[in-house]
Amino acid sequence: MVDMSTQTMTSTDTAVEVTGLRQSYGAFEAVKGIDFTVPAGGLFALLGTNGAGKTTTIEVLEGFRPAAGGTVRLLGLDPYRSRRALRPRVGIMLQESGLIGDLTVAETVDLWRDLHARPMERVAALALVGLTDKAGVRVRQLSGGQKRRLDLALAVVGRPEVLFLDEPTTGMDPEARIATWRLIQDLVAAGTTVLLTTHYLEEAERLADRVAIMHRGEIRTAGTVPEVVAGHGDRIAFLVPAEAPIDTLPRIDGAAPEIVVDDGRPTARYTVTGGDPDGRAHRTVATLLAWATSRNVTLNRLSVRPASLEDVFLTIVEENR
Amino acid sequence: MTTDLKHTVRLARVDILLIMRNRSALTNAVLMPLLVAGFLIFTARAQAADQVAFMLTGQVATLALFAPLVNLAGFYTTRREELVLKRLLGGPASAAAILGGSAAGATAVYLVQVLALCVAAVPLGVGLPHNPLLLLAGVLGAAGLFSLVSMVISGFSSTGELAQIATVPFMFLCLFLSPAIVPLDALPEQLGRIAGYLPMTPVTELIRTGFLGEGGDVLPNLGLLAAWVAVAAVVARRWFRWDPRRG
Repeated sequence: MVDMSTQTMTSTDTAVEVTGLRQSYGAFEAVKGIDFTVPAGGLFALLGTNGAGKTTTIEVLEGFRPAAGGTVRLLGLDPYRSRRALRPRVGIMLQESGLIGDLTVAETVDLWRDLHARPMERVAALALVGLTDKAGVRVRQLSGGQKRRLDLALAVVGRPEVLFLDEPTTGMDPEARIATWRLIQDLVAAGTTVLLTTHYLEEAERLADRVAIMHRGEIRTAGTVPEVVAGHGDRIAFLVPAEAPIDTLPRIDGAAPEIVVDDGRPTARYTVTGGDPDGRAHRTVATLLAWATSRNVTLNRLSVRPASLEDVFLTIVEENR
Repeated sequence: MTTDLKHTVRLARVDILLIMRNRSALTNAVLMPLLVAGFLIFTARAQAADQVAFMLTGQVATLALFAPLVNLAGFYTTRREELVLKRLLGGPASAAAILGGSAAGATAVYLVQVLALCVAAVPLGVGLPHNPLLLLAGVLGAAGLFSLVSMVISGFSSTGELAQIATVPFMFLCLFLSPAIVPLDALPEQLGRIAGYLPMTPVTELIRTGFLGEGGDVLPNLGLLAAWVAVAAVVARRWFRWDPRRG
């Protein structure tokens, strides 16, 4: 469990409040008037394609640049104008590390500790991210994943009330990724508000209380994960039988299946949407099994699952291509 | 100690550690300038005593062009491109403390070099500084001014190497249009008059007056140096950038 005992929680219930945020780079409008709030102690994931406006939004919240339009409040304050007051209360993990390669891991943590008023002990910070045995190693000798872990240690060493994590697990191996997820969950359990951006939708699905999917500067959908995936139906998939050519696969409600390659083998995928989703999924499976029986083929790896964040994400991207 | 000052000192300590740890920075910022200064002063020994004093005090001023200008321009640029500056700016340290920390580290290196020349001045017959406070004012003014110039140059440079190269024209301007190496009256009249207003002239005059007790008028030179510091601060504020130029 993360010891955040000396952290001073904000008195306000809303940690992050964004209203009508706009941001442009010359003629290019990167963020087109977005709104969202993050309650204190919540974990909010901001998702989107490259260039969707996530990093611009986060940088405004981090106080690196002023909002060109709209209002942004972090712990009740303007993050750009009140940077000095907010910085000791905020932890930031940038998309790229920004570490000094010639310092050792221990020296790096000590430097960050010395910049904070009530930091964690170095030993505790390194233990949190599993870098205890790397304390004496120069930062430039760390792997990409280890650098991300060190960056995370620096973001939390000051016991922040709000933590910005910009693609925190990129480059980490699966074990380190799961350990990082646990750490993030512990931080949230200890009362830290986390604003996360990630390309790993499974990460958002697993960690976030609420998510928002941005595309081309706008929030296209937002809510809890069940709210976001609701209405996007179920996915039914099976390996295309070798004996059945693709063009012979049945159409459901007039729609042919989507064919994707999974593990090097063609997979047929049906999306079942509309009212009574459970009933429709049931009827679709029955139709497919009847078709397979009539053809005397087996539907290997037949699966039915609800839509995932990834499905919603891809749908939004496809619709706006 | 205020938080900003505490952060500045902490970051300066890191910079000094990094200079000592990096052989290239150690050679370029500390050893090479001292060797060149030593060589020039040694060569001047064959001439009159006042020539040795002139050369030594000129070298005290010239050393300000290395750690606080060339090396610092490279440091700022490399760190900006590697996102170190932005990473630091995302923490509790203020922008002034982050930039000031590196400048303070470079100034500390410069002060050590000046101290080495002060020590060398005794066996060379120049003696100890006549007015140490004025000498210190000139040295710190030079370090501050060139640190600000290094920020300006960094703002236009995309890599640390390019930033260091970009300091060369300014360095030559400082070396040859000032009384650091040759007296101003040895320059063509018009050029000498212009050089009298350029930033290296008040730096050199203050240092020389502080060291030898003779040289230019103190107040006009202090005023001119302060004016250049103010100009450099305004330009640095306008042109220094925290975000990388790449991409």
